[in-house]
Amino acid sequence: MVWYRKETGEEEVTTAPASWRATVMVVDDEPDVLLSVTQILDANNYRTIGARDGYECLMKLRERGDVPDVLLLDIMMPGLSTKDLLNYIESDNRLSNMKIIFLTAIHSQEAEEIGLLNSRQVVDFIEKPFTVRRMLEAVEKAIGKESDSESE
Amino acid sequence: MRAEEGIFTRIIEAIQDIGDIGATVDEISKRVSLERHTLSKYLNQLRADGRISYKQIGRAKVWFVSKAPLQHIFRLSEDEKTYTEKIFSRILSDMPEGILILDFDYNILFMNRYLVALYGDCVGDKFHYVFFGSRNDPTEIKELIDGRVEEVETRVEDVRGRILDIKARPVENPDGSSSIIAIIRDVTERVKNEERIRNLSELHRLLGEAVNRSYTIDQLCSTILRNLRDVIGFDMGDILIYDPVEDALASYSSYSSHGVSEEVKECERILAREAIRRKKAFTFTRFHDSGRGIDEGGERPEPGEIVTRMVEGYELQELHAIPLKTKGAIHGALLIFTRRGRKLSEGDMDLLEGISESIAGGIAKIKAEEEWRLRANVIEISAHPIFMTSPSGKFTYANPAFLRVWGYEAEEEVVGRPWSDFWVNDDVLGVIRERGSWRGSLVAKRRDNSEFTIPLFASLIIGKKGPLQLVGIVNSGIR
Repeated sequence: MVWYRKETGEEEVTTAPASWRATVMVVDDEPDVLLSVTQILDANNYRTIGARDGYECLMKLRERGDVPDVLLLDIMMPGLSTKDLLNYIESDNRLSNMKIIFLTAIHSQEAEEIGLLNSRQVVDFIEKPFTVRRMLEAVEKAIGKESDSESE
Repeated sequence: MRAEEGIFTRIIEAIQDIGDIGATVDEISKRVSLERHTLSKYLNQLRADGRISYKQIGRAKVWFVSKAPLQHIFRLSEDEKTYTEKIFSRILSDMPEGILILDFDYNILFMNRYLVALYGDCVGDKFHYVFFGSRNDPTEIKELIDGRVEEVETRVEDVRGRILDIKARPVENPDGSSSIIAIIRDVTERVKNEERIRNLSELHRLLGEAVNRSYTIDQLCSTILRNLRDVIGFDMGDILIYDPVEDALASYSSYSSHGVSEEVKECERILAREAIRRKKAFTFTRFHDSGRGIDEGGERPEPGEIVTRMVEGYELQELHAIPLKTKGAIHGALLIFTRRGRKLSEGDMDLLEGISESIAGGIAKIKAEEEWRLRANVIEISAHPIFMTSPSGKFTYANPAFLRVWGYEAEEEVVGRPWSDFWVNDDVLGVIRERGSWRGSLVAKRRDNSEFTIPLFASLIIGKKGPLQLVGIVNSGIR
């Protein structure tokens, strides 16, 4: 199985595996984090979409016909605030089943204080640095499937 | 009038009669019909009063009637002054710093309005008594009188605790005698401000150092409290740390000029809990002398009998309670109490708010470090071998269990070495990098190159900027 991706994680896969486990949109302004996370998810049979900030995430969510199953979202990003992005997602019925996982350097207490954990779509909060294992488990839990990433 | 005043007048007239060249003791003795010894005694008394002075010429003293510079100008009425004298006297009188003229016996000959406002009109009195309440001059003016220096610049504290900058020089009088002219500035406020700024800088430096040097919370609190006291001068102070798990408050450091009773500790806990509940600072101020207090924090809960009793018992004026909060949590409260009559300024309050944020940040960091040290200990004592490598596979850490199973003695022997020194299969590293994690059995390589198969779970750790490390946990129970 071969597919290609631009370094930024911006481009979609060109050749897809026969069956994706789910579609995950990853939003992070750090290119290395975006690249690593999308590559790892790809390697674990997830279909991935990358976005470098809230605006890009918003545009892709609006333009795409299909809706990602999971949104892995960094909190501290330039441009559109995470809160505004969440407000948009909550207001769009099409996105109401999309699960959101925060992937961030701030503490959950801080996120709670600024009201980011109020959304019913937010299902997990992963503090950086995190193990990939922790992230994969969170994604698997969000889509309600058991992990098969542990076996060779 | 003293009994000797008649003799004094005769002596002064005798000196004046002899003329501007001055009079020797013998010349005066002949004119006033006093023997040398008695005359000397009177001359010294007159000199001590500043009414005459002498000049040493060879071995002889030549006496003059004092014509102190400046002094006479202020004794003339406005009509008697020349235009220049009028201007000069006004300038001197209105100067924003003190002008003082002394004779060589420390008698004050002149003091301008600035000094009169500070000490009252003390012309004729001894300088050291007026300024320092002392029989001796504590400044270096003696050096000028003895001719050892040309100028003196000194900073001294006066009898009322003012800090004075004194700059003094000798001046020659028209009669050939000398006086001391001193410019005196009250720099108390400036010195205090400088000291406050110095203390503030020191406080901020200590805060930074306390956090960076991994102080304990105890050390952080006591250091901050001690230095904070130098800056704002409170009477009682405490930092109480809140434990949300046990819902308890603990005092790590306190200062009190009274000694702290159990009742005070209880009051502190009440106030700290209130600050934590409100999540913002509040002040409880005693008003009038009734012993009752008024809460200035917007809400008005009853302070309670025990707090009111403490305010009365310790004669306190203000109780300030400031929560120690970071964005994510409340870590405790800073309590500052002042004694009756002492109120903190707005600047002091701004400082307390700022400092409380820094203290909270420091406490949060120390707590996090302590927690991580505890977790690190768990890894250290784990029976399972645990290791970390860079994303390229270079070892950065191995716990004692790993060293034991692989046959090494010290971590230094392992750190920096490649993946292939410990595992036979290099491909797995690529798989971990690609997929993020891996679990399975792998052939390991001991120090003596013997091989064994062992279950490994490995995962990449991703940080703020991308992949940081790879962590591997080995199940040593299956060999």
